[in-house]
Amino acid sequence: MLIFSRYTYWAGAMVALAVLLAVVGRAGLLDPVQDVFLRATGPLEEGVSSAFRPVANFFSNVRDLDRLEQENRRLLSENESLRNENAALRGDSERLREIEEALGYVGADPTTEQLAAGVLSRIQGPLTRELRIDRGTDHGVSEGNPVLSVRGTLIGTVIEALPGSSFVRLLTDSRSSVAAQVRGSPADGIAKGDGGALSFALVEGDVNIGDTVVTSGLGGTYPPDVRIGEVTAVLGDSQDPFPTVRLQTTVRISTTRTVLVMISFTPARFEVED
Amino acid sequence: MRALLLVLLALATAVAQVAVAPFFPVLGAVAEFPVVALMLLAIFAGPHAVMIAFPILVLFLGFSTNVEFEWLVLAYLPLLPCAAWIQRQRAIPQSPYALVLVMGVAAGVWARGALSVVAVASGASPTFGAVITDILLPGMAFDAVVLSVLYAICWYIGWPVRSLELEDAGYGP
Repeated sequence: MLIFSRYTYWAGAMVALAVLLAVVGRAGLLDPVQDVFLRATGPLEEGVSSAFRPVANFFSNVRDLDRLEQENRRLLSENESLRNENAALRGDSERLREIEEALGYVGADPTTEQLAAGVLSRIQGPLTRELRIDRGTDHGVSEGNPVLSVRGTLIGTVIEALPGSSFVRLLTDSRSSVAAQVRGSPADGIAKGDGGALSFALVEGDVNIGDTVVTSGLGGTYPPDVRIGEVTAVLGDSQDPFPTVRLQTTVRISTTRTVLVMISFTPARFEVED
Repeated sequence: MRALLLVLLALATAVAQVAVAPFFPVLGAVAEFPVVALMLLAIFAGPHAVMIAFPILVLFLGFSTNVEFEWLVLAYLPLLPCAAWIQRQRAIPQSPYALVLVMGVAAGVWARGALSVVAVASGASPTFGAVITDILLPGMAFDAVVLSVLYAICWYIGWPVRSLELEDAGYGP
């Protein structure tokens, strides 16, 4: 163990430095320094990411070829039914607007103000999945704001907002969990990440493959009825208290470049465990 | 000049970890560029270079990844003393490449294990088996490949392999 003793002073100094940085960081004194660092390195990160993104896209597409073909066939068939549904909903929406005008109803959905943000970098570690986006407190972003894909699918939450950028914890991060329910059904549970995929845990009620899972709004952390993903597998038998339900999001996080931040939504309670 | 090079290396490592590593996951594991960089720095530039680069790298990584500094220190600090200890073990083949491989893979296992524990402490609830099969094993294979490629490049350039013992390296008391 002699070898360890020779590094004692250095290791001790590093531990002391870590404690100092932890204390200073917890007090928020490092936030301005971090913001300056991230602003300075942002263009470099963006440049490096842009150089590697096409290569990553290529490998991702090759790896997912079978799945993409199946998905393409499914989406083509879905497309027609959604077009028909959309036409019917447009009619309903127009009728609703006319009724609201007639009744003098003034309503404002507090969750609709969205801010487009560019993805600067991805942070992927053991069990963790995060993004850094190019909008921060200077642009109205605050901690707890839900983050959506450009098509409106929930992908995560802002966990730290700096003046010029923000960190977003993705739903696939194993520390994420969202109160969720099956759209058009009373079945509900918790959508959880596992560091790469999504599952629908503690489900009560009937769940079938193809069901759309949305936020339930319970707990006030997320607005209700925001799409999370679709059920791709329901495993387990009648003896299991809860089935194992796998979800698939339609968002390809690995190559997403733009996201939407719901800046007008303030969670009822927001705590991030460090 | 040497200090500037170390700062640039730390910066490049931090940027690569967020701008390159996430694009190329293998079975869910991503490259641990900090481990690879520190290991190659220790072998080809000596322990003193690591001792200078380490706090700079931790600072840059903390800013880039938003992981708390104390956890980064926990994940990467044992790397140098443990690598030196491994180098002393006569039971391990003493060819430089084998040593780098053993030290790098061991450091990678420690770093990933430590960061997994941090994630669990923050609310993640993986099974023990998942940590082994989805994080540690693919990570070991990944580290071995990345280290081998970079080691081959450094070896081809002709950089000499250094001892990790402080007195041998000339920085002992």
